[in-house]
Parts: sequence; structure tokens; C-alpha cells
Amino acid sequence: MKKTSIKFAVICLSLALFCCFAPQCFAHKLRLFAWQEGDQILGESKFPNGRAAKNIGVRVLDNTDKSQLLTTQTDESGNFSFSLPQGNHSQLEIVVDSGDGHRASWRIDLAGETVPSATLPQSKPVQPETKSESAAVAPKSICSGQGWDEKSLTALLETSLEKKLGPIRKELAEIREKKVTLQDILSGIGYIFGLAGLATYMKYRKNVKE
Amino acid sequence: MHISEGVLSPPILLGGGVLTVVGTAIGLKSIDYERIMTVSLLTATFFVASLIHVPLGPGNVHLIMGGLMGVVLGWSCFPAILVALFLQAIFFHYGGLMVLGVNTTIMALPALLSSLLFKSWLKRNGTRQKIAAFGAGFLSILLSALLMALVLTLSDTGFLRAAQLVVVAHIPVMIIEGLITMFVVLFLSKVQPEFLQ
Repeated sequence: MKKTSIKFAVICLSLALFCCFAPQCFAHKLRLFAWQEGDQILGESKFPNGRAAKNIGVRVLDNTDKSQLLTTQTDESGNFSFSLPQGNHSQLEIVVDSGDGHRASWRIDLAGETVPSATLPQSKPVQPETKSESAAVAPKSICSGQGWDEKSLTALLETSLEKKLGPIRKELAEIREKKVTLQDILSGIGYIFGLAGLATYMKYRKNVKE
Repeated sequence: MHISEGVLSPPILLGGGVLTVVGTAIGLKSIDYERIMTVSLLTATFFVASLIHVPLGPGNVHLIMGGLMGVVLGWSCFPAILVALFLQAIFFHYGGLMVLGVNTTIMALPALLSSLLFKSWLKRNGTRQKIAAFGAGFLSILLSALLMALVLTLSDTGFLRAAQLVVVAHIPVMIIEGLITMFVVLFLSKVQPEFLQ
């Protein structure tokens, strides 16, 4: 009995270890993350195996009073986007539901107003060189004469900054998402065997008392 | 097969919790001194099995090992699955603590039923044992999927849509689990028949 028990334990443990190193150690759940880009919220929903969660419902709630602000759907590649809802909302909660019991939510803090009032220091006029550098982003209408008017310059900076920040925000959102690590797996197995030890001890004490 | 937090309505959560408590109580009573290690080994197997994703089917499926749990453990599959799901909820964020009862019932009840159904054939040798083991693995997933669809329906999603989504997604798992259960049972009956008592 003892020898065969050990054999079985070895088999189970090797299976467990195989699982640990199986390539797709992601959580079994719907993954969702969203980030802000200018006055748009972009988001992505996927299954853990990397497959896109196609055409599933997305609900957007105000996180303080849980009122539903708008609904949308993911596209063929699991992406969705919507413009910032009207009104004053400090935090949005985005909920996706795939209809088969999986659901995920994501909270997003809104970064204040999208175009803040001009607060540029009143310094020397902008050199013409910078104009040509950022000309690709600049709509023609805001170039007036030789200089820039302060308000449109701020707006321009805002939009181009938002564009550059988009991918960074996306990466941050991806990092925030919790992933299963080897430590999680091993500590879970450790807990199970610890419980087995505890149960053995309890039964043992009972036997001794009897 | 893990239902997420916030999908189900409170009466269903409560019902699942009650069933789990009853099953776990009976299961714990049935564990004797010699079975403790067997139960914990299978708990560990169940705990990590869900990390193996099957890259087939429309959605998101993984191994469950319900059939094997039922065949080897009988009633003790309830406490085993409860512990494994609890740890999965904490470490992997699968399911959740509120839905623990429902998730345990969804996976443990079919495991128990299918093992009881095939019990007499499992003790034979040869083809009958193979069929019984495959059947237990296959049926436990099928019943789990149907139970899950039913639970989702009782909350709000339409039954047909939920059943289609869940059952279709798990067809590959049913076949794979049937095969795995068959091989493990054959192996155990040769190497260590007392595990299948």
C-alpha cells in the first residue's frame, strides 16, 4: 500500500508540475481592460487563450451612483470604444458579460476635463522651427499669422500628448490586470497538502483518544 | 465552467450554498484515515487542471476532471472540489467567493451522479470498464454544462442561448475528459486497484 501510494503521488505531482509549465497559464475568466485616449475611452476584452470576445455587450456605469450611462458592443476583434459620457463623472465602471456566466468589470478614473483652460506661462513667442516640427498634427486653422495663439497651442499640445499617452495608458492597464503566476499555483498546492496534514492530525487525535 | 461574481441572483447563490454544505458534510464523513491523501492528491489535480486550456471550440474551456474526481472519490468529491475552487478563487480569480457554493454544486453534483451511474461497470474489467470510465468523464461535463445553463437561466440569460453557449463550448472538453478518465481508470485498476474502491 505504501509503495503504490508513493507511486501515485509521484504521478499526480508530475501532472501538477506539467500543468504549471503549460504554456497558457492565464486565468479562466473574461479579461477586460480599458484606457482613456483624449475624449474617448478605448477598451479590449479577451478570453484567456487570447481569443477575442466578439460581439458581447458592454455596459458603462457611473461608479458612484451605479447608474447606467450607455451600452455598446465589442467588435470582431474584441475592441470597443465610446466617447466620454456627458456630465460630471469621476469614475466609470465598465462591465462586459459574455452570456455564459463570465463577466468582468474595469474601473477607470477620468482625468478631469479633457481640455483644461490655458495655463501656459506667458513667455517668449514660439519659434517658427517648432511650428514645422509639429505641423503634421496641427490643423491648419490654428496657425494665424507668424505666431500661435495660446489657446490653440494648448489644445494642440493636449491632443498630441493624448495621442502619445494612449499606448502607455494601454500598457499600464494591461499591467494592472492580474495574471496567474507560478507562485500562485505552488502556494495553492501547498495549501491543499497542508489541509491534508491537518485532516490527518485531527483523525489521528481522534483515534488516539478512542 | 466557473461562473463569475455578480451574475447570479441571491436565491440561487443560497441554494447552491446549501447543496454544497450538505454534500461537503456527507463527503467529509466518508473520508477515513486512509483516504485523506487520495482526496488531497485529487484536489491538487483538480486545482491545477483548470490551467490547461483546450484550444478548441468557440470560447474559453479548460480541463475540469469532474469525472475522475467522482469515480475515485465518490461523495468526498464535494469537499475536494470546494477546497480547490476556494483556492482558485483566491489565487487565480476564477469565479468568486460568493458564487463558491453554486460553482461547487455545478461541478461536484454531476461528478457524483455520473460515478454512481457507472459504478457497477467500473469494477469490471475490459471493455465495460473502459466504456464506464469514458462515460463518467463525458457525462459529468455534459451534466455540469446543463446545470450551469439552468443556473444562468434561473438568473436571467435565456436558457437556449446559455445552454448553446455552454454546452457547445464544452463538447471538446467532454471528449477529452472522457478519454483522460478512461486512461487514468485503466492505469489505476492495473497499478493500484484500491484507489477505485
